[in-house]
Amino acid sequence: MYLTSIEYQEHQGTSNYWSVKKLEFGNVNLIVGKNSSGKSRIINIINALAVSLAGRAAPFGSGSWSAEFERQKGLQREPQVYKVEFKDTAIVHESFKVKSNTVMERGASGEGYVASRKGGRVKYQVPRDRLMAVMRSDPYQHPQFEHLKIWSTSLCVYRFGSEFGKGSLTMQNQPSPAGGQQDGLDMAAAVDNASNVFLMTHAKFGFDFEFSVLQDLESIGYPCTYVGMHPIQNINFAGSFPLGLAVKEAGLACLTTQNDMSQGMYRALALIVQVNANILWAQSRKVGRELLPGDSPMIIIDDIGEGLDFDRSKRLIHLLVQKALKYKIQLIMSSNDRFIMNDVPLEYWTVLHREGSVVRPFNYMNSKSVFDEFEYLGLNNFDFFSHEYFKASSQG
Amino acid sequence: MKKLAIFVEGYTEFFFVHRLINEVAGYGRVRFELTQHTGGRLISLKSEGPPEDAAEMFIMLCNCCGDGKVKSAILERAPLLKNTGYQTVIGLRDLYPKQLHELEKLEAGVKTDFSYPGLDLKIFIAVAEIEAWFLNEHTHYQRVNPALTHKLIVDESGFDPVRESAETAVRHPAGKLNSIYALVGEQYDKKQSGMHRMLSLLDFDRLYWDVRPMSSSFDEFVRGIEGFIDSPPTVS
Repeated sequence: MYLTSIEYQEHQGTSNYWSVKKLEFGNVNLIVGKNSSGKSRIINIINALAVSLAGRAAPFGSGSWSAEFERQKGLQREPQVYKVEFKDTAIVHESFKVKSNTVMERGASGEGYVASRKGGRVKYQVPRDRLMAVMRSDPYQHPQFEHLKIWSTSLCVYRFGSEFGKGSLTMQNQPSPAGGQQDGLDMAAAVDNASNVFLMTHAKFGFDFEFSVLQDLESIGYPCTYVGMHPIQNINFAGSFPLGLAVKEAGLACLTTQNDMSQGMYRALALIVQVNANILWAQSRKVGRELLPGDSPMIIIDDIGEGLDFDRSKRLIHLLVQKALKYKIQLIMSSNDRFIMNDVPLEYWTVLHREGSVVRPFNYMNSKSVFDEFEYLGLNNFDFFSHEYFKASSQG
Repeated sequence: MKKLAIFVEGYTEFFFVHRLINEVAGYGRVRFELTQHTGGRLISLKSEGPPEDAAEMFIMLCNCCGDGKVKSAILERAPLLKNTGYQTVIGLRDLYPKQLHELEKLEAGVKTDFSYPGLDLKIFIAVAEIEAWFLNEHTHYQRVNPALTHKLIVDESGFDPVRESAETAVRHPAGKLNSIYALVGEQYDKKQSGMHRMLSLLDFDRLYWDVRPMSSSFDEFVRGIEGFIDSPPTVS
């Protein structure tokens, strides 16, 4: 499923009130905004909804989500809307709509219903702090939740500006945190563990995987002749050495292990490993046909390009956008780097503008004429942001 | 010494304008500073021409590398340009991918908020790309390949480089140029090495005398350059 919009608020009626007005998404999205405009917070909001729906989060003290999705069903697109509101770590309302039919609704008591396959309503009572969409998700009885579940359990959030798993190493004979290979790799569980993702993906796809990683590294300006797993000699666990990512850079005789890489190079390598693994595992689940929107996990990359030089970060973004379009991956990136902004077409932009505790998004979907007019001024994309041209839509 | 800064979109314009100025001004009169604006930095590539004390004028030519729009790069650099003695700053950008009917709107747009005290700022728009100017230099096709005759071009591409103005007749000039070259197995190469070959094939006399009357955007740009070249020298 594709996430087409999200709207959020918390602590309504109190001094801690905070909200994000309806933010619509396309296939490729770049979220830009000044510091503390809410970029990372929006990513956290999407992530929090996903981990809740995946049954991996404790209930929130406060928070109200309204998320719209689109499911590719053959050539048709089926709209789905999920809403949930938390108050004092309990759920006060939850509903799920598929097309125009409400297929689940419950109130603060936990009492509610789920539409049955035959069209009737089955009454349920769930604990006040548990989601009906999680408790009553069942591929046979209530298959309507399946796509929501797949979206939520597979969402991958990569914090590019962080350490991004540089310190995470892998023991060859230990079970993977990302699970086995029968149903594919749980990429969402290994967003900070590129070495493990590499190990598991390489074991399944071998040279195809290695080749695509090398090709992508070269395309962003890191030509390498080898990528693989290598024992990290200076760390010893009861006589065995953990494995880390290693590359052989063109022109260098020795290997560069992930410990020795610059943070920028490691981040780029880790992201390329993660994205290629995502594509290959998604393809292996859909053998015999091209990937459709929603087949690959939604990918969110916070602070894309952080720590990379201008040229490489530009190339990395080109690569990601190209892959997202080719493999129908929904991609959300965030940045406040002016050079990244200049290089990403405005059609992918969402500018966040915070007025007090309210975050308003501006993008092609809600401010098309302002974006179109700006094209004629002959200015950089960054000027659109820095001179606040986007605000013309709220003034006009 | 009078000083001019020219900001262009990419390699094609960069090498073409460099050569054009030498042809129009005459070799040995202009000292050039060739630069590149990338990643927010202005990188000096090389200086050439007569020494500063012998040169009549100084021109900084800057390739914005496509990643910085010409207008933004000029506005960003304007204070420094003013402080280092430049009087005139010229920008050159393409109309493409916008279409001819959008030209007026684009011209008005690029003039909006485009000024800096003490600097004469102008942006010229090549319609639709500077390749339109190359398309009308009809003698160069024979130098690309003798098999590329006028008749073959007209018959196969539907464009008559002698009689039609590429400015109004061709929506995507670089694509048209490539498709014409492809008639004889050649290709139009926008890479740096390809541009040097292209410039060696063009006849700048023909451009100056034959293409200008056919192409108003080229004529305006040349007049802009000549306006600076023919302007009186400054005291500083």
